[in-house]
Amino acid sequence: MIHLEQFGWRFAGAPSWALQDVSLHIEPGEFVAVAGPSGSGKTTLALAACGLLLGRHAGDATGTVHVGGKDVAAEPLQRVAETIALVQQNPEAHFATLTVADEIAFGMENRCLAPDDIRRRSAEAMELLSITHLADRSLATLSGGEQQRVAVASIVAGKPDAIVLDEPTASLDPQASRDLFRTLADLCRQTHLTVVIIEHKLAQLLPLNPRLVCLEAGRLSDAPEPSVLSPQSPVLSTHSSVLDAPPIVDASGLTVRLGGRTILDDVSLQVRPGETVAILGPNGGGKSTLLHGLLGLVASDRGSVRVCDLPVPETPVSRLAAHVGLVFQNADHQLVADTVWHEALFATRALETPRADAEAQADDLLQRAGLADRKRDHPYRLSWGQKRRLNIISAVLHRPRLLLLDEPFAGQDWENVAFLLEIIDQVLNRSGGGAVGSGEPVHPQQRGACLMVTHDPRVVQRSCTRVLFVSDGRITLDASMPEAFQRLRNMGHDAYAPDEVLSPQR
Amino acid sequence: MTYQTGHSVLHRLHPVVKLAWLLWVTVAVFVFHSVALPLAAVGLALALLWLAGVPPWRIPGARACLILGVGIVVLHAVVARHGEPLIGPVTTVGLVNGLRAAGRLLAVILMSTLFVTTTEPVSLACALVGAGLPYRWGFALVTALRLAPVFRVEAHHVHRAQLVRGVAYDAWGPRRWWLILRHLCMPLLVSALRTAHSLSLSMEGRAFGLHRRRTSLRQVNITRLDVAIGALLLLSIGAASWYAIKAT
Repeated sequence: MIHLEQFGWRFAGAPSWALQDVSLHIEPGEFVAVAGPSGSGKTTLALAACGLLLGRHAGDATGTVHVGGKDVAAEPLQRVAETIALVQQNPEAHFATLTVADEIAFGMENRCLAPDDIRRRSAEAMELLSITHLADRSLATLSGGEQQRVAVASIVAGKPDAIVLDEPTASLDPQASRDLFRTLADLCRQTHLTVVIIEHKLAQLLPLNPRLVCLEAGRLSDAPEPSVLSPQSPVLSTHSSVLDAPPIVDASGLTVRLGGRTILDDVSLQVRPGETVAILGPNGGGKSTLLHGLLGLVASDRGSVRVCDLPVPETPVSRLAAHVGLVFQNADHQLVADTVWHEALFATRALETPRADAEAQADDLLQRAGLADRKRDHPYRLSWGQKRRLNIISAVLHRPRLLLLDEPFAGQDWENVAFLLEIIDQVLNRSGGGAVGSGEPVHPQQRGACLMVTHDPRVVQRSCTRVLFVSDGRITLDASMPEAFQRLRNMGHDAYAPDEVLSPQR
Repeated sequence: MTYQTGHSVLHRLHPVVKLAWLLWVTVAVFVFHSVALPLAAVGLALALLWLAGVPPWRIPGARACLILGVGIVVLHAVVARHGEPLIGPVTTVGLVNGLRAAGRLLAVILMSTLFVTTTEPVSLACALVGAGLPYRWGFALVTALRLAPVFRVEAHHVHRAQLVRGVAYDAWGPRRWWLILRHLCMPLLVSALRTAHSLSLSMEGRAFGLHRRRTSLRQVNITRLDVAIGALLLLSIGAASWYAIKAT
């Protein structure tokens, strides 16, 4: 079905080959998972298999790619797509129409199929993906999981022989991820469709018995890196919260309404020095709004908030910024400078932090993040994992007391995650001066605190002291680790507390 | 201001007929020097909006438009020196000019609002393609309608992302606008280019552009009411043209 023969690819201007000497054969009807560290070439492999590299991107190629007997380099994309199609990571960028029914019919309309055939195939595709009830809905009103299902249905309706999904669950909550994987496995089994999934969340995928293909530094590897399957060691030492210290975050009765909907409903929360709080919950439950509401980035209808003893929203956000670091979900949203170096120092310059100190620390952190030789590059030339490291560096250089992280580890391999967590721990719990992490541990009452929205239970297990579960705008669980996972299970949220994390191994 | 679901006569009218009326009214209020015409257009638009289930006070920006309209009338009224004096510096010519200028602005805004709130975007695209517009252009319209709110949300995210890094967008003064321009442009431009690239891959990957024509599940049929309203449009254009020729 999919045959790569000694295939290699180097993007124009890139110093190294993204793929080298890859010979991979995927048979019809196979269910395949492609794994590997960030930057190993997984997305490049997906693009190559779907005919989106050769003849479409500037670069150097070796070897061949055949799909369904066709040489992808010799056929127009519209013809290749009759055999194999790509489902991209962000479904928002996939949609060409405004409603679910129109989107699923889109491809078939382009191929000039008869209206009756289009309706029949659309109904079949919606049935397979369990989205028949969404047919008349506007795409903008769907959840992330629903959007991914519609994206898959819009491809499946065209009856290709294979689909490739590039990290389809990157921004989905654990339950939605698990549901999507099961649906794809069922699709493969029932329709003999070849399904290839690029994923980091192997813990949820492996129980479905995919064939595992591993990439490392652009080459196929016989066995996966141990860290790809599961992290081997604890990331950082945990600190207990300082109960008698004034809270860093003190929110009471916080309520946010947007567009007639209640997004946060009477939320009360205190976070004390030394705490690293994980915020879990389904997509659309209010997690990101909680972070934004604590800083006054969204207007609250009622309630009171104090951050680092400053009232919110009376204190301008630009003034709060001196005490807070916030990393957004999308790495690109916080990249504005023209070089990596300037980007790293952006916040410290805006906040007028003493320069010599900041520059020394920036140097150290960029070195440790493997970005020292990219200082003069434009930030948009970095890989996703590298941008994320740069976001974190930029957010911690002014040594905030409070760190707010909105899904900072989505799409990251464990090595990246471990590095970032280490930096966060050192910034919050060690004194300033000199290189970050070299200072003495601070007095417990001077420690910082961190709230992070995450979907990764491994991160929670290894770095968090407390768990909040936010659903429908309310905090339905507030528990310390390690009991929090068992309580999540008792509440029926198994996907957030899988077996591998249930026995705490701190 | 977006499409409001409904079942009024205006919702059921053919999109191309509504578009033709919108264009005609927009041209007519500016071409003809009458003050009664734009004011009549404003009155008609308000009545039709009510009929379509969109009362004037629910129109986004209605208050701002009203204030703007009143401001234009007052400005013309007090600045013009020609005509008979009415009250203080206000003259007849100033008042008439002000009413005409405000009427033109409000007529265009309200008629456009009427069109947008009663016309489903994909139906408009289908109707235009059915009328002979190449389907690529029709989808350009649909894509613009789909991505406009996406980019608006992106702009909010980028604004907040920079605000929380200490950029003083919340300060007052001209520097604020310079900062916004400088720091928002690059992320938004990159986001727009990325989205456009991904969308083009998605559309081409589903055979968009493979054939010169494409099937359309959605059919926008012409009814007797559409023919009647269309005939009325032609009649009004004819009458206005005859009136204009006679006047010269």
